Amino acid sequence: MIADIAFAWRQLRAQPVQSSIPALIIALSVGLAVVVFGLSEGVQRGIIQASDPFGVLVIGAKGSGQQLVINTILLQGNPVGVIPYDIYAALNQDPHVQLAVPLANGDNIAGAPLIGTNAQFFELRVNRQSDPAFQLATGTIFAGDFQAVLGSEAARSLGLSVGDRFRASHGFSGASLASDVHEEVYTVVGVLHPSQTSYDKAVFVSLESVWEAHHEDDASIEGMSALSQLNIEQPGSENSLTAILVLPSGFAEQNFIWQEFYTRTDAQAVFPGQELGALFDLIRQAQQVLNLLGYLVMGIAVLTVFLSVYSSHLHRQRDIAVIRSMGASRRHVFRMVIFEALLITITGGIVGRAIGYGAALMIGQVFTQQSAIPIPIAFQTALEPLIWALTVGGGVIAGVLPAFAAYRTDIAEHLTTS
Amino acid sequence: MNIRLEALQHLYRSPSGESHQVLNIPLWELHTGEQVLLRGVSGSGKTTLFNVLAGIRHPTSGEVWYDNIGLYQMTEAHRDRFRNQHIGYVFQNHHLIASLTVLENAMLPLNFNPKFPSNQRRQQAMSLLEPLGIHALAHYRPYQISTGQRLRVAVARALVNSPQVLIADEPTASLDADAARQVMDTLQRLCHAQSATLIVASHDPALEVRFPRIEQLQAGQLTLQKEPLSL
Repeated sequence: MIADIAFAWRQLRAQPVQSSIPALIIALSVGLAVVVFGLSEGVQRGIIQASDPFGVLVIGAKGSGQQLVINTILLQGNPVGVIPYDIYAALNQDPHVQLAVPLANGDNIAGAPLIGTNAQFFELRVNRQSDPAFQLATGTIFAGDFQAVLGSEAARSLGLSVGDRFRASHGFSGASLASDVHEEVYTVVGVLHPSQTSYDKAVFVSLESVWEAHHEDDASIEGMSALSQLNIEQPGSENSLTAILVLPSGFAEQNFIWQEFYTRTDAQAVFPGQELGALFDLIRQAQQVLNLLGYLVMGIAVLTVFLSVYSSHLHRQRDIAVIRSMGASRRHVFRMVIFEALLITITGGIVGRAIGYGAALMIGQVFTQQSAIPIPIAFQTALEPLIWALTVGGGVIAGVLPAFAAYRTDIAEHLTTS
Repeated sequence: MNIRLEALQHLYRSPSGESHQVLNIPLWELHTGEQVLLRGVSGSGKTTLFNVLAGIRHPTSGEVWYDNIGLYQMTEAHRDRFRNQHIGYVFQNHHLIASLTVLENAMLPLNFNPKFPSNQRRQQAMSLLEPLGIHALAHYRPYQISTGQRLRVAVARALVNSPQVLIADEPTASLDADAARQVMDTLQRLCHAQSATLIVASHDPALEVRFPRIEQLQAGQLTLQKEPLSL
């Protein structure tokens, strides 16, 4: 058996191009499957992990619930709109609510979102027993206007630390016009530990700071940014919020609050889990399409292996006859050809895993840099049986016909005619 | 190992459907350690006879006996194993495998011999490459060496399993006189050392003096041309 494998390996080694191309195609198909599964699972796990601390309900302007959740929790895209601060004030007094956290965003510092909030934000936890999700690494939480606390990634990317000063710009993008830069100067008073959420790339200031900066804009039409002129109700307007994170005091209370907002016209309450579940459904649909593509590539790869092994067999009928004449049985040569195909597909599978995990890690890192959401790329244990079935099964399927042809090789005929 | 061919006949069917008798040997015997030269014009059936002796061409009728073992009474798998362990075959065209090195070619039959210890295969092959003067070429590929050197590799491969019968089909056909003499010296010496029966097919008249027994194959029939003294 080992001699058969060794002989098959020597045959492949003797034809490096013919052997490596089908192995590479197998590798690409396996790599594609690993990337699709790895990233899909990583993105979902990353998003779930990143949304853990943010309560059970998100309250915001009427509109797309998914957009509200994605903007509020993942800091992606634009806010749906603004809601009056009074809603927060009422919720903060509501006995059904354990914790309510106001959020007002709309400005940025070199692309890092500026989040207006209050001290309650720093009370958010993954669960009631756990430590606060956002904890200071250095400094203090803002105590007055134009004091800022930096998320860990924001501090790193902006190169700011406690005592440094900066000015914010209007809007959500880092590419601002000179006229969009607010006059107010913020002072960094604290930097947070990493929280493994999108808020690591954010800068936290008091609500009043955001309102005051925008009040100045509203007071003078010349001072208004392009974005403000286009959308007078843009986020950050005085006494308005973009969202409220709500942790109800219990399950019944959670439903009570949701029902209350269901009938209101000025705001909506959405369950992040539900909205993210819909998002995950979209991801899974995309994954299914990519899986089909992967199976197609795998089919083509198996066909390529078959053509390679069969063509190799046609050129080596004399060699097979020689091997048989040296005492190799029909079973030996059958196994040798099967092993050739298996070595191609299994090598392709191993290289494909390396390519797949490498690519998934790189894409995950790019995604993390853009979103601050860590994308954990885990070893796809569930995918392993499928990869082994495809590579081993593919190898056997690709090899069986050439192996059978080798099995039937007439020794004397090929040794006499060559 | 004594060899006996009994009532051996082999017919070829031509593309037109006609049958041509290639071999018709009522009885032919060779004794252990005997060295026989087989002569015959091209197409006289020498290679067919060798293939039948090696168990790779099933005769139309008759039997080949190795001592008391009927070669064509065995299953094909047994015959493969028997050939591997008892018969060495030097082909006219050498038939080395291009993807293997000289050493790997020489070791090839050992890979299919389960009785031979796997950790001694290399050493066994090298022990044959050395007297044949090609041990320095062990890691060369067949296309990197000369025709004469390829023949020596084929000889080493045929002898590597210490066979009791060695068949060589035109071993000196592509060699000059000196190289032919060297190869035949080695072949006969190694066979003698192993008490192996040697059957060589050749047109080369220079070989006649080397063999105590010469057989002529003509029209499928064997005729004794030179009789060994002991007979």
